[in-house]
Amino acid sequence: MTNIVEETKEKGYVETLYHRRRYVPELKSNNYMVRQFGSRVAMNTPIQGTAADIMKIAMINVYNKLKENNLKSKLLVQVHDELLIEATLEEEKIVKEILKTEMENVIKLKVPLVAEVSEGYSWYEAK
Amino acid sequence: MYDKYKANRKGMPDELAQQMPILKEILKAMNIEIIEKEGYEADDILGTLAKWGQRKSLDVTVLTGDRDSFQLIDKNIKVRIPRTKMGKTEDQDYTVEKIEEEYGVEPLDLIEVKGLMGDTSDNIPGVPGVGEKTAINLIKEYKTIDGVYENIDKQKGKLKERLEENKDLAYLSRTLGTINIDSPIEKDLNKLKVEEWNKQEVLEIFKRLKFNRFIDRFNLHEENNVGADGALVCPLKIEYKANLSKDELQEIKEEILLQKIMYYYLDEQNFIIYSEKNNTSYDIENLLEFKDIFENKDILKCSYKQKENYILLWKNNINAKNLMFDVTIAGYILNSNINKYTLEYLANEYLDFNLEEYLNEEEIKEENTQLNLFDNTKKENKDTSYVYPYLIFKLYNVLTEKMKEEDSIDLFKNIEMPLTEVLASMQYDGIYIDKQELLDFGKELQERLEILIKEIYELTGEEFNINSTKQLGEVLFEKLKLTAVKKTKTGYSTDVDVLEKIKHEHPVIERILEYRQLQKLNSTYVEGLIPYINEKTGRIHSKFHQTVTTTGRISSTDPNLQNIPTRMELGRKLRKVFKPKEGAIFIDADYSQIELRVLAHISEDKNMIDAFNNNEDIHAQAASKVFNVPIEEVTKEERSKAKAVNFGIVYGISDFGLGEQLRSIKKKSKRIYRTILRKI
Repeated sequence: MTNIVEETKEKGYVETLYHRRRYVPELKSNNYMVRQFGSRVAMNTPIQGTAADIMKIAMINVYNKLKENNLKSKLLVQVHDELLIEATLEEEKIVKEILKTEMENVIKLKVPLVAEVSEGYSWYEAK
Repeated sequence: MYDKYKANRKGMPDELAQQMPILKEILKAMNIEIIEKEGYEADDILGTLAKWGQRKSLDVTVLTGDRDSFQLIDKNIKVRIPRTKMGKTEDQDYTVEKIEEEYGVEPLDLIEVKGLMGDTSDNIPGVPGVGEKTAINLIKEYKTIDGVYENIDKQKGKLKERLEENKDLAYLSRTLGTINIDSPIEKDLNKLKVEEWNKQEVLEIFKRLKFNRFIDRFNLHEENNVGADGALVCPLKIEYKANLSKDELQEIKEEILLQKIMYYYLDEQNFIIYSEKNNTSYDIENLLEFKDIFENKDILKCSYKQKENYILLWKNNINAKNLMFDVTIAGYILNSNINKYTLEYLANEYLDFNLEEYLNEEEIKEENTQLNLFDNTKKENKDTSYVYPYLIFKLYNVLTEKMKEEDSIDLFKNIEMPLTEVLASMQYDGIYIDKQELLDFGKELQERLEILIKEIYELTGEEFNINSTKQLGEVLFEKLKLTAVKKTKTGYSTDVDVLEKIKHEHPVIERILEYRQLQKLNSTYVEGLIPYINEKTGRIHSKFHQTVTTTGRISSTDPNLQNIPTRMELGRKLRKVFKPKEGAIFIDADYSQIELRVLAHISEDKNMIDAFNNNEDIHAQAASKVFNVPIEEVTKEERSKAKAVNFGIVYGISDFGLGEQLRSIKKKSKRIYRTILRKI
């Protein structure tokens, strides 16, 4: 983890698994607090950014699957690590399957990706 | 001389110091003489030169922002100082007469005045308790500090006491405040003369620094328009055509079909296509004429803000396909630290092209050209947008190359661009909100707020305005004598951080925190949400953004759905008003611990990987390793510490913040943090 700070300082940027770059000029600041902030950015961008990449791929795959299967259900919201779909009652089962499969199979990491799926008649109930 | 002198000055801030070598480089290229002398201040050098100039019978004007320089004013020496007046900066000349009019004393007397009143910004002490008014009156009457002390018996009371007690300080301050007009510097009139600039050199520097406005202002444009790196400084003149005939439209379409690419700019008012072949921007009146092109999946559409394009096209019943090159998103991929990826910014950054300048030049050119009558009718509606598709065309090539170089073209093509359609669809569809239930929820909040207000009044023994930071500060820190953590210019700070810190000192704090949260909830998400409910659809259509965060996360505004509070039960309840339409149900899917899983993957930490693969409790597992106890013996406290540390790594909380969160001893948490970091 300390290596990544050094590496970032040298290259000037840090990357996610999917090569999303973030420049971290803060690491070269003369101000200690700013440099500290830069180190934290260097450490957590690969984690947060990769998680964001995975979420985006999941969204695209879910959206395309809904389209491919000519479903009327719609992806409505993305917040944090969560996706919300408005599914017609007859499509409930298949949409659940799609969500779980697509979200969990975005990429093969050294650990499994797990998505917890639930339903309800309000966002509160569904969560 | 006086140690405290200028102690307030911490040297230049970094940001300014870094600019000094650049400034000197520019001045040198402009053939402007720089005079500096170790141990002497700029004031001293200015003063020395001004007086020397006066002796040489020159007409001297000192350009400065520093009012201390007023003491230099004399016959033939004036000070020109910038003044901000109603948001406008104006120059103001100060002469002997002007000083006398404004201060009632002569310029040199200002040294004496300063000796008495001091100057806080320079840490010149002066006589404590003597302000500008008193100082000026004294000097008006007695002319000098000597004069004041010779007639000290004429003063009385406090003032006399102060003057007597601080005589040394007064004289010291006078010395400190006097500009040295005899600094040992070289004075060579020939060197100081204004010379021609080295224009080429200045231009090179300005280009390097992207000072395009200055290049324009000082008219430094080159004859040929190609910049150092081959980028276009100023493009060819782009033709513009509107009111197209059927044949012309057909010709444009044929070119697009042949090239398999369309460069266009589209917003509510404009639809303009750029043709490379004819170097022309075509103003298309009817969007529907190009329905087939938009729906043709083999034609790459290249434009600006494609998410908005989708929505506009869908509204026009155009089922657009292959909108797969958005210059704003390419700009974001190349540097996520920018605020807004406007065409102006992108053109400036990647094409070295200044849109504003270009348009200004165009205007001048047009004024100078006698347009014939036919041209006039054509140019009627022409605004700046005709340049946009041309810039998009240029940017397409440059940005594609850059993304290839940086190995981020796949991220752009396979993730960000397909995502644009998804976000457009989410925004277009919106989500239904039960308005009545939202209003009821607002009532519920109001009721809880009223209870809280009562409790706060009871606990503090006083009725006051809880929303007034001033009143709240007084009640908490003066009446209840709680620990005042932070003071601000206007009084006590009562922000969340402060209140969190003194939470256990008094039960009222918790209620104030809840009061604030509920009030925010009410104003932002009840009253705030109502205007966003679309009258036609009954739904809210939040805008999703993919070029805002530096980490790559999606964000939303109007309203922001990301920060609907979910920690408080009452905040979570807000989600009850979001409902599926008739005959539908909500399905929610949540990634479980995705960031920790990514952390496990990236760090390749065997313990973490095993824990996830065996479906173990990841935090308990970490605690077991750190505290060296078997996993089944990990206490709740140990687990929560390990959890905080785990998240500390993911979210980059400093070990200080971590310590505070745990409300445990800082050293200990630091040690745990280090241990975990080492283990990773």
